Amino acid sequence: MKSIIMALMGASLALFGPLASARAAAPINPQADLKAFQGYFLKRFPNVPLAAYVNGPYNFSKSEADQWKQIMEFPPYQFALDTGKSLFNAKFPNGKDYASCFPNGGIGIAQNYPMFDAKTGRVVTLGIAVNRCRVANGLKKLKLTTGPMADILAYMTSTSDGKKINVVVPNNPKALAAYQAGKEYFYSRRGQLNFSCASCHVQEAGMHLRGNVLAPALGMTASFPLYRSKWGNMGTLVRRFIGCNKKVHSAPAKPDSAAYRDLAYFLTYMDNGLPVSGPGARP
Amino acid sequence: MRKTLIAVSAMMVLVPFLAQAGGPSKAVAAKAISNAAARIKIAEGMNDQWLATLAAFKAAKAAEAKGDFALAQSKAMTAETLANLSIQQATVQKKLWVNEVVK
Amino acid sequence: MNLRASLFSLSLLAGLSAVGVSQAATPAQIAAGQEIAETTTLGNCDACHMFTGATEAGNVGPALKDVKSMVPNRKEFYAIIYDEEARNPQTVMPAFGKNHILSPEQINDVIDFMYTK
Repeated sequence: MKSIIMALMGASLALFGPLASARAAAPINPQADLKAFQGYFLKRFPNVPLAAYVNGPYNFSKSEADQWKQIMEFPPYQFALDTGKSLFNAKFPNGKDYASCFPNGGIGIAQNYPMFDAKTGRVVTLGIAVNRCRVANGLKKLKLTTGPMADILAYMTSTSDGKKINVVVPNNPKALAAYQAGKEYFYSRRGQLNFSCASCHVQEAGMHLRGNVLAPALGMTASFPLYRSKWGNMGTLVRRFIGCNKKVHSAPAKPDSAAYRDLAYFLTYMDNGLPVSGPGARP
Repeated sequence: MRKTLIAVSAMMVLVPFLAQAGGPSKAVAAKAISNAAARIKIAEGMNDQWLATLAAFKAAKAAEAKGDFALAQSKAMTAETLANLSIQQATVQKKLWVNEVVK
Repeated sequence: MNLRASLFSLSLLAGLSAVGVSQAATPAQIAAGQEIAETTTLGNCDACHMFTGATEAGNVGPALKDVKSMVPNRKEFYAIIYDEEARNPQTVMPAFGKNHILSPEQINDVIDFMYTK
């Protein structure tokens, strides 16, 4: 019986396919997207000023905000921050260090990532840049999701605290394509539960999923890496992508995949102008 | 794509009747598994693989390894059905995602 | 569209007749429905919907109260759980039936449970 239902559903969808509205080939315009994206949230939640979006769910739940204030008396990411600073400053076996790989010695630069790399034609997140530095100096890549990588990113991000996020999409076909792919990923429904990132973090932003506030997509990237009580340790933005994918019953992509690089590129570009406020703490 | 879907749908109706005669052989199970693997590969390329698809496929391989070809075949067919659903989803989303974009 | 709609209702009928829907739900069916509704890997209804007895329910979807008057038609209720997106493309309600998250029996159990709310 199930097979028959499925056959009918399959056939009906196949017939319906050509009737679906065709996509209009709109030009790729990141600046216009940014204006619309930030404008959408500012209009929808007039009591939340732009810079406050970096505080995510705490704008929408007094109880979560009160707990957060208590937690921040002894920030749960402090240990990671200290470890990250030591790791960042340690010399590689060849005598060089992380600072040698980055402009300004890696200090106060986190707001410029993810960055488009014209040489490879790919998006480079700060984590991937750290791994490139390691490989260039004969070291193994670090896991991009948690552990020492999250610690190093916590330290590097902290040196950009308060600086305005400034992701650049250059007028380069590959950069624009990466941006657009990230945008498409963000808005496409996927997984057995049929949710897009936007389903929860745009349409239902500020609502409660069980006891948790669905954080608006705007400002989301600004506090990463962060300590999440649910994890009991630090995690990077890509760790959160993996978690979200699993939640909608979708198999996650690889941490260094084009899908996640492009998604981070789009999502962080939408936060341009907001202050870096990582590392952060979330329930 | 559409032809394949219809063919697959037709198969899903017919196969259970065929299978009743004596239980599926090793070759039938292997064929079901390779059919599922092909669809899973397409779904992955479309950035839309379901966890349930992979779980069913894993169960199919495990059953095959144990020599339970009937279970292997049925799990592989479930995996294929789910992979097809995710392919359909990703295909329609190629057109529909723009409707979710904030304006 | 008409063809799709009719095929859709045909498949719904198949789903309904498959389990031989009876007039009165048994306590066992209602209990099974409750378990499905409150299990995160199954219905997980309370993640989005408030209903009496649910702990830490969300508010993404409408509160489920006096469900018999909200959705008096059982077939319509089945269709909502089976694939609400077919009825309302903007919905974020997952297609529990179409996407094989719940079987027709499980959907019917959930309906039986929700009709007690």
